[in-house]
Parts: sequence; structure tokens; C-alpha cells
Amino acid sequence: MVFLLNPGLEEGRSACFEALVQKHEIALYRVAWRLCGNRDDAEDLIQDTLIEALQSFVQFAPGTHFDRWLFRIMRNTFIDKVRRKQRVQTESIDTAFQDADGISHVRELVDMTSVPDRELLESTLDGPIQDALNGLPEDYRMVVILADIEEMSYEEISQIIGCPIGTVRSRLHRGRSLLKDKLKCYVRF
Amino acid sequence: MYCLNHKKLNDYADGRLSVALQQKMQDHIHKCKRCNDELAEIQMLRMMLRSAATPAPDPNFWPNVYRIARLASQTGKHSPWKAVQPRRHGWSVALGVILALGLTTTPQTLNQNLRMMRSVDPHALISLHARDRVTLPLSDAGELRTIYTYAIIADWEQDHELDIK
Repeated sequence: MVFLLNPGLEEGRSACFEALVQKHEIALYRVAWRLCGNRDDAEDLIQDTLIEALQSFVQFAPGTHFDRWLFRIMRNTFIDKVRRKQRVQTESIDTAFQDADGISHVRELVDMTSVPDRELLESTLDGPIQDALNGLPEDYRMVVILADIEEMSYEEISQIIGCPIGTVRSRLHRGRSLLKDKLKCYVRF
Repeated sequence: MYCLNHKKLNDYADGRLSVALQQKMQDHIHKCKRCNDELAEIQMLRMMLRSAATPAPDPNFWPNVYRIARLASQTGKHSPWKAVQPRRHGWSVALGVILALGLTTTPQTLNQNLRMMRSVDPHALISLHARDRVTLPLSDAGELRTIYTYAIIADWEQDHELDIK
């Protein structure tokens, strides 16, 4: 922590930052995975979060909760990514495309059903749970993940998402209600 | 049948009620089937979410991501650290000054000014200005600006090994 007193030491600053992140690696990965729903997006989100966090590390106040600070950056990064994604026009991957000579081609796609992650998820209820989470609005999803998976209090979540406790409560209740509706066909509540 | 206590169930499940209200709800739940079922649903949902497995990352994931974050931090465009690095700051000021000089002088006079500013003491500037017949009038540039420009450009040249002919 001595490096925080002398932030000009780039190496020390990075080492201190990494030591703090290492304590929360599992939770970071879990939240990123649940927010994004797949490995690639989750790992991209963590990478972007850590880049942003390391660049802003000077703003972190020692003595406060590092995990909440990180999750707040992750939440903002995630919302930014979602908004950017919505602005980007997409094209179906199974649409035929034409080369320079005007000849049509069909893309060869990898069989995603054989991906180990997917197999793991489908062997349990984890797949439907993740699909149901993916179907929630982003703000609801974040609150449900922090409350029901990370077991954080309303106050902690309020600090992370920057909303009043009343908003946390209503989003959590609404999110749970939507999740129950989506999972009804898998589980008889 | 609609139950008025139904809306408080989430708060009850999360332990958000006062001790007295928590006890009151507990008594109510024992009697009300609808609230009892609803509470069981909330608890079931929470249990499912908590028990959902998360695949582990590749063993190289964390070392790689730390390395990338370090590199990005050293070269990042939006790093707040960038602002406190005097060399980078000086470089951008130097560019601004050069642009300003470029707008007020011809290419030849710009080079003459830069050569003079690089090699002379600011106090000797006035006599050298007359000796070299620099077309940019000293009254336009101002002594402070000249001293500042001299310092920045000398620093900039040292960094970038710029050879001004």
C-alpha cells in the first residue's frame, strides 16, 4: 500500500493494483460472466474494466471498498458496451455474401453446440438461468446479480450503481418477478 | 385473493424489515398460503442463482489481462497519469506554439526564429534579433512568450532530436 503514497512509481502502482484485484478475481469473473452470458464478452468486459480501473487508480481512495469501486467501473463499462453495441448495425452470420467477382458464398460456421462451456451449462439448469438473466434489462440484471449471486446489501448495491436504495429495491423486486416468469417452464415454483 | 402484505415479501426475504415488522410478517406467512408460496418462490430463485456454476477462466487469462492493463495504462489516451507527465504536456504546448508561430510568420522566418530560440539566452535575444534580421518583430512576440517558447522548444528538440536547419 506504500505505493499509493507515491503514485508516480508506475511499477509499484500496477503491482499494488494487481494485488488488490487478485482478492476479487473470482467475484469479478462471476459477475462479468452473469452480466454478459458468455466467456468472450465476459473476458472482454473484465479487460476493459481493469484498463479503465488502472488508469483511474489515482482516484481510488485507500480505506474504501476496492471491490465496490471495481464493480462500479465494471457496471459503467458494461452499460457503455451495451449502448455502443446497439448503435452498431449487425448482419446475420448465415446471410450469403458476394465476393469481388459477384459470386455468392455461404459462411462456414463453427458448431457452437459442441463448445464445452455450453455443454456444461446445458447439463444443468445454468443454461436456462443465464438465458433468463440475459433477458432482463441491463439495470435489473446488475441488481439481481449483485443481490442474489454476490449477496450484497441494498446499501452496497446502491453505491455501485449510483442509485438510491429505493431504486435498488424496486429493480430487484421487478427483476426477480421477471426471472420467475422466464423460468416457470423449467421449475415449478 | 390479494394480500396487502404481498409487497413486503421481498423485503422480508432480504431481512430489510424492522425487527417488529419482521416478526409480524413471520406470523402472517404462517397463516397466509399465498404469501407462504410467494416466499418459497423467492427463496428458490435465490438458491438457483447462487448455485449456478460459472466456468473457470483459462489459466493464462489473469496474467494476460494484467499485462494488457499495464500496457494500456502506459500508453492509454485517457489516462489521468498522462496529464501529470511534463514531457508529454510540454510536447503538446510546443506544437501549439509552433502552430501559432507558423500562422504569424513565413516558413523562412519560422526557421530563423526557432534556430535563434534554440541556441540563445533569452536576455541576448534583442541583440541577436537585430543581428539576424528576424522578420518577426519582438514587440509582437513579447519577451515572456519568447522565453517560454525557448524553453519548450529546447526541451522538445532534446526529446525528439529534431534538427532544425
